[in-house]
Amino acid sequence: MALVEAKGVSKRFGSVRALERVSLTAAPSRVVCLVGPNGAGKTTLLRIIMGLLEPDEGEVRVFGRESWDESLRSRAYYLPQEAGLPKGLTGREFLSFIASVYGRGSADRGAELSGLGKELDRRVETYSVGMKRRLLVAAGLMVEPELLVLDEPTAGLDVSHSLFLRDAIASYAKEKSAAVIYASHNMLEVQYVCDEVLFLHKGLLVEAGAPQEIMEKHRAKNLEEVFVRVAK
Amino acid sequence: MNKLLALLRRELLSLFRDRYVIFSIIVAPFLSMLLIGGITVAMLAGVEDNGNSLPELSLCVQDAGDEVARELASRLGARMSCEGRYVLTLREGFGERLRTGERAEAVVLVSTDNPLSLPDQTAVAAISSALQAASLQLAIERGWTTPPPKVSVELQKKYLVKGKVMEEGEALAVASLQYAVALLFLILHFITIQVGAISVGIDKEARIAESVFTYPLRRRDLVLAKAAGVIATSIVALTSFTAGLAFVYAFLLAHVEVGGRSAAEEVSRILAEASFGAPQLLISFAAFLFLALSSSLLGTFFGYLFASDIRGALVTSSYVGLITAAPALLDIMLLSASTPLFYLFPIYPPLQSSKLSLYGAYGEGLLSLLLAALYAAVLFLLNAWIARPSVVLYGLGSMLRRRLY
Repeated sequence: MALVEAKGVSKRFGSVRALERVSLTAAPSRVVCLVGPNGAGKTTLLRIIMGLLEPDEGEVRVFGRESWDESLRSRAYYLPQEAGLPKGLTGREFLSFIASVYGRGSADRGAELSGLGKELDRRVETYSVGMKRRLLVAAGLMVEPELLVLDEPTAGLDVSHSLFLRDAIASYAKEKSAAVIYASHNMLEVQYVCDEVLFLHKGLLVEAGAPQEIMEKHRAKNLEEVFVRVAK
Repeated sequence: MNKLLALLRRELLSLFRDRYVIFSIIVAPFLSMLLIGGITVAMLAGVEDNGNSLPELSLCVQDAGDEVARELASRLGARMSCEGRYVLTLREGFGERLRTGERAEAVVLVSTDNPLSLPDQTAVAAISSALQAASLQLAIERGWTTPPPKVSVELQKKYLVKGKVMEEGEALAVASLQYAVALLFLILHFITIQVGAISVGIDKEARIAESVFTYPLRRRDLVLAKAAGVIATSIVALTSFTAGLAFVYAFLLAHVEVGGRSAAEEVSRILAEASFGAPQLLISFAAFLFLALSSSLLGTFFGYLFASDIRGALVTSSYVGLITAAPALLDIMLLSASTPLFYLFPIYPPLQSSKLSLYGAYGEGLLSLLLAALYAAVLFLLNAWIARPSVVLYGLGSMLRRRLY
């Protein structure tokens, strides 16, 4: 059974078309990736799925219910693009806060997942961009949601930390039978971590399928080549 | 030259395309003028009502057979009575003294709840001038040419506060405490409203708000937690303010003399005269808490609506704070003006509550406290309604669209 089912979702901001009849399905144990150039509509679609934004047209069901249903929130974790952390808290205090809010997980488990070690006792405003992302992703994995929605989780991370996080996310989906929706600009990462890729361009869904299938269809060596072709 | 022009163009575009700059240079001055205009109108009303046209005046004549006094009463438009807010009492033999050129004596008795009220003072000056003018006119009409009439008006005040007559010292003490409370409330109102707006501005600027709205939390809990946090800062501010005040008083008490007495004796006298004790302290503290709650919710409300970052929060809260503080400002300016419109300002019911308890009118003080609580509840509901992702992410414009998330 699909955990997220979006059908024919459209959204406009004034005269700007953000999404036009886009559909998406996310099932347990699968990682669905959204890719596309800037302004393609990835963040808008994620916000609609998380109930932060209302679609103009179409239907979005999350766990079989309307996406803005507040009762769904304990089953999902959302990491927005460029998300910040509350100032004044240490990393460990932030993990404890998230564990309390979700009613599960623990700061120790979060600490283990983040790999931040003693840095967790420092205040979050002293963290680099990469450290913040690691903490935020670890917080999400710590509370073991059934649905993980991540908007460019590895943006600003160096190669080794990107690898660490994408491995953690991919194995989490399999081990916990969770659905992951993952927006990214990094085609190599998408090729590695995703079971299904959706290419968005100017609000339209221009290509969808398993990475290998798409590459074969476009006779491309990698997803970057596909990206360049569909974005034209 | 071209480089300078390019630089200038960049500066102008940056400034005039910044909505907070536009707010500060166009909307804020307009709003400020509304406030200053309101205060000016209140001042003018206080002066003009009593200067150009006399306030409602009662004339009390000690000599019932004094025909001149009755004639003056008619010319002044006063009703013959010895009761009222402004009572002009013409002493025994007033008419005869006026006719013979002797000094005729009158007393204006003002029943007031505020010894320092500016409108009361202007009213007395107006009554005195009107009596002088009417006497002179009467003397001319009746041919009492020499010497010109001399009228002396003595001012007496009756401190009638909520039906209770006070001694002058007690009334002055209560008024002094009232101003202190109004000042304290004004400062706390500003601090709290600013902290409230900033706490929302920080969440938006650091992009925390977007995540928070997806956590398994009820919106009313978000609003309540934010308000509670802001109130905690208000209490710290109150403590800090009190400590600063205590330091100043300690210095004054040790080094300053007031009217030949030490400042310590003077402060003790004021507190004793005003019968300031536990009930007033309790009601004032409760009023402070409700004010802190209302101001914090007002700050967060406008923060959600207009402050997309900390700078926006500072601009918004400064002007909202200024406008909503108007009744306290009027009190501090000794205008003692009051209109039912003031109940639109969240600072007013708590201020009234504290003020009334200082008068000893505890029942009415508690009623105002209830109103302050109601105000806080309404602001809480407004916050719960407005604190939603669509408003935080897409601003006020999203409210005009179909459904709010």
